[in-house]
Amino acid sequence: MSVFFAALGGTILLASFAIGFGLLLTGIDRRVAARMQARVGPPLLQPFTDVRKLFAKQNIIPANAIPWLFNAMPIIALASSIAILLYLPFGSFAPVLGAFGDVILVLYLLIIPSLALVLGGFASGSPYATVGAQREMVSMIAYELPLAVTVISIAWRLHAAHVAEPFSMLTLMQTPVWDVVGPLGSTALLILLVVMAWVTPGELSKIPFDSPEAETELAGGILAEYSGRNLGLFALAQAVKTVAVAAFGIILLLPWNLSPFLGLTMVAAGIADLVFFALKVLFVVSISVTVVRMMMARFRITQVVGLYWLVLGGLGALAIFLLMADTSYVPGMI
Amino acid sequence: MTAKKVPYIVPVGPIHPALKEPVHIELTVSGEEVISADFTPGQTHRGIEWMGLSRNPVQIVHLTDRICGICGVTHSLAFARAVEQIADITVPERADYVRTIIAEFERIQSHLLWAGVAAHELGFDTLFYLAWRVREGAMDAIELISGNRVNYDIIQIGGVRRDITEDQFEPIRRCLANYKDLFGKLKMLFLEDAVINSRCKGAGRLSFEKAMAYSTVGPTARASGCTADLRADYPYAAYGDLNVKPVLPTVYSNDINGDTYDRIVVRIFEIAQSIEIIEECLANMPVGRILWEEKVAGILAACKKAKGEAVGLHEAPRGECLHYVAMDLAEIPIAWKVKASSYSNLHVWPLILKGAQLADIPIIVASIDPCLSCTDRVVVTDAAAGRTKIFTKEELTRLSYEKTRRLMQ
Amino acid sequence: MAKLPMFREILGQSVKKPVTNLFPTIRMPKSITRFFRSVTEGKAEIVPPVATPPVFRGKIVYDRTACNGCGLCLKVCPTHAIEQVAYPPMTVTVTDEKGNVTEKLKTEKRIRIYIASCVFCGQCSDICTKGAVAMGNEFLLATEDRFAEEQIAE
Repeated sequence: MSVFFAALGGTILLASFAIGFGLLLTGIDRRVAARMQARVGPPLLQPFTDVRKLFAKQNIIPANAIPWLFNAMPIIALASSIAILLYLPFGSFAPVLGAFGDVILVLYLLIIPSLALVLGGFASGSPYATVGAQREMVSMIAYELPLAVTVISIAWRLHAAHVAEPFSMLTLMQTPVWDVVGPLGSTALLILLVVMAWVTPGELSKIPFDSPEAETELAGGILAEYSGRNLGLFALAQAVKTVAVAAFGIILLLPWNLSPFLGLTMVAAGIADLVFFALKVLFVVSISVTVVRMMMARFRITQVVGLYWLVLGGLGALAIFLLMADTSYVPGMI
Repeated sequence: MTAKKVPYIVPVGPIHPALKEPVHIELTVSGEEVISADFTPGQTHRGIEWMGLSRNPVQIVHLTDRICGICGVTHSLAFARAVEQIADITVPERADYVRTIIAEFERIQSHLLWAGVAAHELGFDTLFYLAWRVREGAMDAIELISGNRVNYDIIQIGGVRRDITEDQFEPIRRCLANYKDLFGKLKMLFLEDAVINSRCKGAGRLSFEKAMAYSTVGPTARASGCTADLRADYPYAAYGDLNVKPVLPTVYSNDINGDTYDRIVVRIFEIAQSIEIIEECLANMPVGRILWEEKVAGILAACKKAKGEAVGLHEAPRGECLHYVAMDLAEIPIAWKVKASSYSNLHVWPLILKGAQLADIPIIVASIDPCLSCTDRVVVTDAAAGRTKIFTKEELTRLSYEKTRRLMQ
Repeated sequence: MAKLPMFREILGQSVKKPVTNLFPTIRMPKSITRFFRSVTEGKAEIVPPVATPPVFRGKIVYDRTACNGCGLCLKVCPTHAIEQVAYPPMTVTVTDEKGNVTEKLKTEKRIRIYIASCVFCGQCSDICTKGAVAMGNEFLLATEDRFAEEQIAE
């Protein structure tokens, strides 16, 4: 029972933290983006206002839609986004459900919010949403390959270095993979960092990978028919997913904590690490989301697949070879 | 909405984020590929021609300013030229130069506006904001000369209403120098960007033969290799004194593909051409009057004595703009017909959209720079019966015959 | 990044000042109507809009005392926004050549301009021989009632 209550408390705490932090990130992203376009931009708390407004508005279900599927999907999207967080360590805080799942589970969980979007799109009964849902599926398949390559190669490298439980999220956070590799491995990890930097905007459906929503051609695509509370839930899910995806990338490739360097312990260490972690999330979002979406035009969906499979997939394969070469030259430390 | 089986029919418009003006495009789509496309104009008919037939030319010339929100001088210049031909009015040389300068500033701002819209259609909002920010320079220059940013109202029958004074030369030259500095940056941002290259090259290809067969005009035609430019072919205003050569995509690359990318090339380089034209006009500005007749009553008296019909042409930013006017010894013209440049270009849509990727539709649709408010003419709505009727070519021909017969009686 | 020239552009722009003119306020007020009310009361100030050029054509300023009701402006108004109005006849004393003083009924002709129909071409102010019509500087004319007092110049 105590595990259950701890999980419940942890979930509520994490969910409210992630929603607040995710919306704030969106606000910062919009503000920084505006500055890059020589605009002033909205207030930092605009996303909160937007969501509050959406929840106050009428929830329209199109006549062509399948109502129960259409209504269920926003909730599933939000719930699954929050579920991802339960398996992620934040700073020196261990994951709430760390004992019950590893990095492979997180990899699967990351798909579910997108899947909910796809089903919601198909359930909308609008050609725009249908085309958008098809595109979302294609881009999911596309970015899954480089993402899986990154995850597997890092875990495998830890395994090769005789680290116990290389697939556990906590291990990934506590044992930075950079510490176990030699120069060849570091090159490989740098390549993987580039790959992750491009996978992140794809997972979050941001320009240049926002073809499922593509405002100018599909008028919002998947979300074209959503309004009111349902759209608000999707906005919350997106905010949580932003935190989750950025955190996932950080745990894989930028996992250091601040407390060992400052010599902090106990509560102070936890808070310092959490703040540092949040700053890292902000950094990742600014680079992978804000800068990327400001400097590029939208890709066609065929180009998305080409980029993820051929270019980033190729880079991932190269990284695997480098890591393999690295293992045979430098025996794992620790 | 339409059936859920393949191929889908995706409606675009009349109201759609990719469209800045209402038009209805219906696309038959299989997966991401467009199998066929059709479009229905006539969603924004305002009956301006009809309004014109109860007004005198001095009133109409300012009505024409409102046909299009971007071409503030195009329609009024074409209309004024038609009336001037009928009434045998000679425009003073200085007025011709002022008209040319304003028309070229309009080309700069219109092309930059289009460039911004094109960037937005590609999902490149930063470039959109940048292009529109740069556009402000031309808007300020126009505002300085004419008083207002969008509706210049500078054309009068027989000249222009405002002169460019000596003290305005300096700010205009500064604006042009600023554009010259920015041109390299614009060229780099639009033409060297990898994503724009990959999205626009080969998209919406219009061959030279088809461009000629569909009678396209302006940058759309020039991007396909047609050397059609009224400023060079039938010089008017001050263009006769200038050496205007049509801009073809060959200014940037070696071959002409007639695709969306070439249309960007043509428009970007036409900005440079316009800067040169304005500079030359400023340097050789003749002195003298700016109006054939200062008093409006005099102009109207000349119109009263006019009899005949004429066609006024102007090379608008989007291509040839044509105004047909017929007058018969009265202040009010007996016929006025507008053929905006987009009207000639819209018809290539079904052709260039066929086989395109769904993602490329906005940029292909935008690539001909459609101006629909200018275009929409005939749609008959029967409010009582609740139906809309668009006349077919045969019906229109028959109606035209009947009208001609009535007029000849 | 040579293939993505916008990268350098956005980095440069992000440290520069935005170009937006923060009209009418820097921050969104809690209530817009209350804000404008306090502006009219002189309690708050609006950030001024971009200045208009010297030859700007804004809301028409009509001087009824200078007008002689000739109606030339009606002839050139593209939108028929101007109408001629006859003021109710009033008694005027007229002295003829012989010095006889008589009382006559006279109708005063003036014009009325519907700003909501005006397209701001400025032809009426160009043609007016008395200088009774001029193009002003005001351009904030949005309204819900096109026949409101400030939308009609007479």
